[in-house]
Amino acid sequence: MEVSRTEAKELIDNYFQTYPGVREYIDNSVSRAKEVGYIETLCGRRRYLPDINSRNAVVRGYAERNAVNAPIQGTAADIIKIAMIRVAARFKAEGIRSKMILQVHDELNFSVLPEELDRVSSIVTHEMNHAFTLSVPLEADCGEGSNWLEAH
Amino acid sequence: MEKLYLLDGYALIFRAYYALIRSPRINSKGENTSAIFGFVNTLEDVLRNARPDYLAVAFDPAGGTFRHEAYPEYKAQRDATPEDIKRSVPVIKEILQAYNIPILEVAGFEADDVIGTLAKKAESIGLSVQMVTPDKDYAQLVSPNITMCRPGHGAKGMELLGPAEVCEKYGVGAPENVIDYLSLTGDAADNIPGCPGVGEKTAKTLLADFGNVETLIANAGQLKGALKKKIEENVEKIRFSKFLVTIRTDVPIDFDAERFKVKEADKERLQKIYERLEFRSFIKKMQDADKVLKSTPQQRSLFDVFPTEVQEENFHANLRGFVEGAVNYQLIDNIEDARKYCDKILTSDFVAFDTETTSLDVLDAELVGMSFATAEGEAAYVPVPANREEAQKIVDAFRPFFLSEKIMKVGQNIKFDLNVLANYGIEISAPMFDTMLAHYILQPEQRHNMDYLAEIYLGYRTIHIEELIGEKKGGGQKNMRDLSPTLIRDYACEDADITLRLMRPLREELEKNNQLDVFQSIEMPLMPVLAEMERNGVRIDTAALEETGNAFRTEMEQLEKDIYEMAGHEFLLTSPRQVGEVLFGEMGLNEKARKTKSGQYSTSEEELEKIRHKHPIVDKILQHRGLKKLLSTYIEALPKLINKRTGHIHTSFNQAVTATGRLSSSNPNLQNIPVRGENGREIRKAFIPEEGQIFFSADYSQIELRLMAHLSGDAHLIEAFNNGEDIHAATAARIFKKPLEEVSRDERRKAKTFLPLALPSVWK
Repeated sequence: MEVSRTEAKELIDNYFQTYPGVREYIDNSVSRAKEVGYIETLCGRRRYLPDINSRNAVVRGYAERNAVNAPIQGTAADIIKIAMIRVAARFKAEGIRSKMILQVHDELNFSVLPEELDRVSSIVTHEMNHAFTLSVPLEADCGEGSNWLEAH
Repeated sequence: MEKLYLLDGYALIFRAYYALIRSPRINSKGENTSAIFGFVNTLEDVLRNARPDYLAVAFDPAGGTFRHEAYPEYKAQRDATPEDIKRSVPVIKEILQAYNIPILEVAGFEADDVIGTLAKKAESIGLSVQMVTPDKDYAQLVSPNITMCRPGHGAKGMELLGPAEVCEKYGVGAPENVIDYLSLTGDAADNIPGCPGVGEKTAKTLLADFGNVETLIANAGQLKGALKKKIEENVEKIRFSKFLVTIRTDVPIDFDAERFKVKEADKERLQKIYERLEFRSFIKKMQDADKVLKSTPQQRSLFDVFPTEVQEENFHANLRGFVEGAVNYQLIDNIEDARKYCDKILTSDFVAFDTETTSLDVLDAELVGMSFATAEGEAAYVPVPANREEAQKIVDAFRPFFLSEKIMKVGQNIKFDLNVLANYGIEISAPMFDTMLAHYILQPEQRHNMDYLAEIYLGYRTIHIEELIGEKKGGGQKNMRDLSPTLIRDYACEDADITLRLMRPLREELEKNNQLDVFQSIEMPLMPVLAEMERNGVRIDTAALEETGNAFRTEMEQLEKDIYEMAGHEFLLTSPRQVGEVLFGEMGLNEKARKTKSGQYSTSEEELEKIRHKHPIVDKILQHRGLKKLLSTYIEALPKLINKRTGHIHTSFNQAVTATGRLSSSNPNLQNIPVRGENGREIRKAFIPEEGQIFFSADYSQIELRLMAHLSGDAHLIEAFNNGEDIHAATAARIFKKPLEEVSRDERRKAKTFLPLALPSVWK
């Protein structure tokens, strides 16, 4: 996308003005990581950032980006993993014969018997939306079709 | 004769650090402890096995030495010392203090001058001296009573050099002529020039003829041609090099018998330091040593102790390994004994198990045997015959164990065992403890294989699989099925035994880090879910793939035609050199085009993106490349991944790979299928549900943004989500400062696409 340097700077500045909490979060994540040497997800998963206090600016910059990014990526991972465990448990408990077959990025895929479609859809969306309680709702978008492309 | 050991602190620290550079030791605080670990390892070996009477460690002082004063370029080209090493030095000094070992530093002199001086002084009062250093310069000091040992060198991982070895190695008449040798060859690492144009071979020949550099310089006239010229023109450089490489033996320091005497270490202090560093194997060794201290001390030569190979894996000297008689590893080779044994293990609270199979491909793998461990050193191996009926009987004998909801079943990478046992209709009930997953939680970016864990946590070297079935490389790897059960017994029992022993330290560390919950309530229960998904597999529409493949190939042909027309001639699209020549050489699309090391134009995707707008040919080349990549990684590769028996593709879901905690997949890697664009779509089309079923997909919407809202607690962001607003439009409205309904499509697009790209610190 063509965005000039000045416009880019303006957009970013405006963004942080609009969402001051985001700026604060970024600063806090980095300074906390500098203190303890790692970041944690909401579930206590860690990523160590040995370069966070490096004197090499490039290496340190990479670690700083990870200090902000890893808690988000890692918590997203925690959440979809919890959803998978619960979906599988409910399938088993409720005798669902449809199968979970693929997981990629933030997406779960199933091969579903036609007569089970409504139940599977409701189990999956419910478990995904309630896998974790955040201060904002979690939302899973669903789709179906004769192949992955159509369902996606 | 009393023995004095002198260690070159920095030289040993650097060597230890770089010896483990490819798989550094990182503790749970994220500290790289390779340098400290390696140094302590060498020190412990010396203390324990060489039993010196006196010992001291010399360090280079802060600030320069007389060499820097005389020659500012001395060691000037060296890279800055890695920060991990800088951080390690004070810790190592602390450890030395706990050992009550003197630290020697003399202002203006390097460690080798200090060691040289002390070595000569100690020799003169009748001591035998050993210099421990990887630095070859010390060879000049060697004498009948002064030897050097170089850890990490030579075929045995340890090079011992006495006068004869030094003379042979450097082709000199006496050890002190090593000075002459180095004056000629110079030393690039220290920025010592030597005589330009004279290498090792010439230096040896010259010294064989003339003995030393002074004689050589005096008689340079006898030389011929170019060599004569080289020597005559570089007399100054040679003499100056000689000055630099000569280790001084007149440093103002005395051999102080009382100070250098080896004393009892402050074990408590040492233990505290080791605990902080998480050096479990050293703590264990210290405790073990206390137990056996008063019994017969083992007298081994230092030579035996150091690792037999320089490989990283073997770097950790002093690792314990399998000792027959020290453990009770049984072979259980009939159904009655198997049933009895299962009854026995049913009374245990913790049992480790492992499977041996014919293949690493779980769907086709057959069991060769199973091993179980119930206590440290107590294990059994149960061979499973090739005959399917017989095999099933043996496996069934253990069904009560696998189904027990009481016994903690411990394993390493249990997903594999789970899938193999599923081939025999066996399920495994919780609770389970997977040592690989536990370590993934503790150290996501380290290795998690059992051999590695055994070394780190137990100071134990396992029997490696290659010792049983040979190396993969030579192609001569045997199948487990072809080995006799007695041969497999120790290997398989050890696997289960070690896995069981690993559970406790891993569990303790999880607890200490407050990570038991993420392990127990996420990773462990997820593992059987992934195992089942792998077994389910996914159906592939090969006809659709073929169709897509054909369409791609037609498109590529058309693109090729267009590209050649635009270039004015045909060329090899697959050759980066030719592509670069056309775009930058002939068409001049970028005057400041970057070149690669080999001197050709770089045609990386990044470079081409930069000039995409300059000429339509660039876009076409990129398109062509994209299609080619999809064709080879998916369209042509997917059909080959279909399992003949099931007709499905069984992707592996890797649970212990990524640094972030996300899952990854292989065979095929689903993450790499392009999310956007027409072509990635075509590949998704080939993934189909079971016959008569429906493909259902559920995708978290904007989960990362939502997490940013939650984690940052930003009121506006949270409000936007809670009001169910179109978050990108809402953001656009706010940053462009206008009402929501006036936001243009372009503005929304910028909010949606540009910001996440511009803030890589915020979103992927």
